[in-house]
Amino acid sequence: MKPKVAFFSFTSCEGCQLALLECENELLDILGAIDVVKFREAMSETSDEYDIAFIEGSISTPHDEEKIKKIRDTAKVIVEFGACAATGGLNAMRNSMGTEEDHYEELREKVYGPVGVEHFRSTKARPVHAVVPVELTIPGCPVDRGHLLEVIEAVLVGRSPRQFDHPLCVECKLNDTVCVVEAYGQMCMGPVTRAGCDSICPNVGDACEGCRGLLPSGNFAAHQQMLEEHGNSKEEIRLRYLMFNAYPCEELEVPLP
Amino acid sequence: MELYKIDEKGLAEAMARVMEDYRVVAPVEKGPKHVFDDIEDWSDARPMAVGTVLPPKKYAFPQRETLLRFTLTGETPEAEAVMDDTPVVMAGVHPCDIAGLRCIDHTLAGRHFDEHYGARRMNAIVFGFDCMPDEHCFCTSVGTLKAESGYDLFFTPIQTGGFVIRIGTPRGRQLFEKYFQHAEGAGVYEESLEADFRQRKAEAVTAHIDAPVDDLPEVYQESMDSEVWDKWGAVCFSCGSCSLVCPTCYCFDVQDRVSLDGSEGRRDRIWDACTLPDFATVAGGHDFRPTAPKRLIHRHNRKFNYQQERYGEPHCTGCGRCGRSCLVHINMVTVANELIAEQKGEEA
Repeated sequence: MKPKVAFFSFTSCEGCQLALLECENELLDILGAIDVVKFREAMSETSDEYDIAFIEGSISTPHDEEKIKKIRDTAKVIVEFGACAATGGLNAMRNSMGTEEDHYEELREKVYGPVGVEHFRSTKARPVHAVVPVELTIPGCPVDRGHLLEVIEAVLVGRSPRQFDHPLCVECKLNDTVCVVEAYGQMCMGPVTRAGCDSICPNVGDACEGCRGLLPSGNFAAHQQMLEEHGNSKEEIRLRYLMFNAYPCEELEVPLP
Repeated sequence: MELYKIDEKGLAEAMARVMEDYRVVAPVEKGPKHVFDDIEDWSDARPMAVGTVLPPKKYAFPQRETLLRFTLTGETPEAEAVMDDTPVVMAGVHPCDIAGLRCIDHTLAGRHFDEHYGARRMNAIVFGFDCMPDEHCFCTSVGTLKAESGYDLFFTPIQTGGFVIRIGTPRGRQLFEKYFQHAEGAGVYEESLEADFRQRKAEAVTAHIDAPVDDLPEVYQESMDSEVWDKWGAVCFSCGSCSLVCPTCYCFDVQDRVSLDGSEGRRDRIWDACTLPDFATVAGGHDFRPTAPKRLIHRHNRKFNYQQERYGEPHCTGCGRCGRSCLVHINMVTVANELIAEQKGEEA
């Protein structure tokens, strides 16, 4: 029997659901192998019976928290996918801009006005795995289609998907990509960032921004010092680390300049 | 050995004709650097460019390759090997990279013959070119200043313009006779110009290892506990760049991919690197080399100790790629010289 799969969206832009829809050559094969029962970006029918839940978005409100716990009770497998779900993503930048006790009141007022303060409560923005246990993670902003398909394949075949426990530099080298630090002195997060996107940004001459999350094995002190040697200020380096990795910095206790 | 000479125009005409019959690859510009890539116009080639990102070994041993395809629909799985024996002319292979190919041959085409590597390697035609070193090159320290063999044709630029050509194999002679009509016989004078180029090249090398290469296995054997490894390990990113750009590294991972309907699949081989944090992790989770210093010891010993003792030549060719690509300035020459100095200090 085909596994029933549901897609859920939390605090995010829903771009990762679109990334799946963009797997145009593979969509029919995917639909032949799974039974999609909930997918807001693509269909209006829904069902609350499912085996695998794909979760997009960070957990950032009390309501999010309730909802993800209910999903956990139903799903046999939870896949957190996309930077927001896997690392807290850009949303976690706000974690240092207020306190959880007052539900980031000042920040909410700035964003939503006085009415919003009444109606929206906020918690710290967290990855899904910080709230409920998850089985699989596909990071990235947005997720890499190749990695997404590899994980779907692994789940269907019934084996563990490939782990990317090495830095992005590996993929730059495999692609014969000119190092953007070596050649242009760019502020690249690649040496401390999890690979798996096929070095999509450096391949076109842009520095990695770290959207796939910091590697627990990363040599952060040496990386920050190297970026300083290439003319970046401490503040620039700090902001670059916090852009996609505010939550991982806290989780891994990364010292920031 | 017979020598020939050819001018730039004659070479361009010959290469244009080679390109009609063969896939030709050569260093081409990519941003401020160079990479080996397919060319359709010889004017795009920079055959003397030093420090391509990856060495030409990628044509014999690609970054990713499919080893076999299988089907799972029958009663028993069926597999068919995938072999690629399309001839490719690699133009602009420098003496260090010629040595690099020989080093990989020791392992993948020696006692254990890897059919996939062998098929590509035997059809990889080497047009060697001599070069001028940059500050990372140290061929004079590891015996790779000059290529004695390992090429089909070898081109050395000479001061009077054009190149001196040496023929290294019967295949090289056939290609020479078929495509290089504009070449002329050369003699003692051209040979002196060739030697003169090599002399200037040797003098231009600025990085040197402070010991004869034959002494290096002992230096590394005695240095397993050296603090030099801890010092460089502390700044190492464990990013694998040094290994991935190395002309003699050949470590790989094997991965199976299966179609979503489970009917068929393929087995791929992808480059791996011993300097990566997850490389030596085995089933059960134990990691035999869990720290950066331990991984550096392993990599550097593979170049100047283990392989050198086994095959009789250093498995570092002085190409300088690891030093160029390392963002924290770890390079073979600095490390070797620190180990050598440390031992001299202990002896004194």
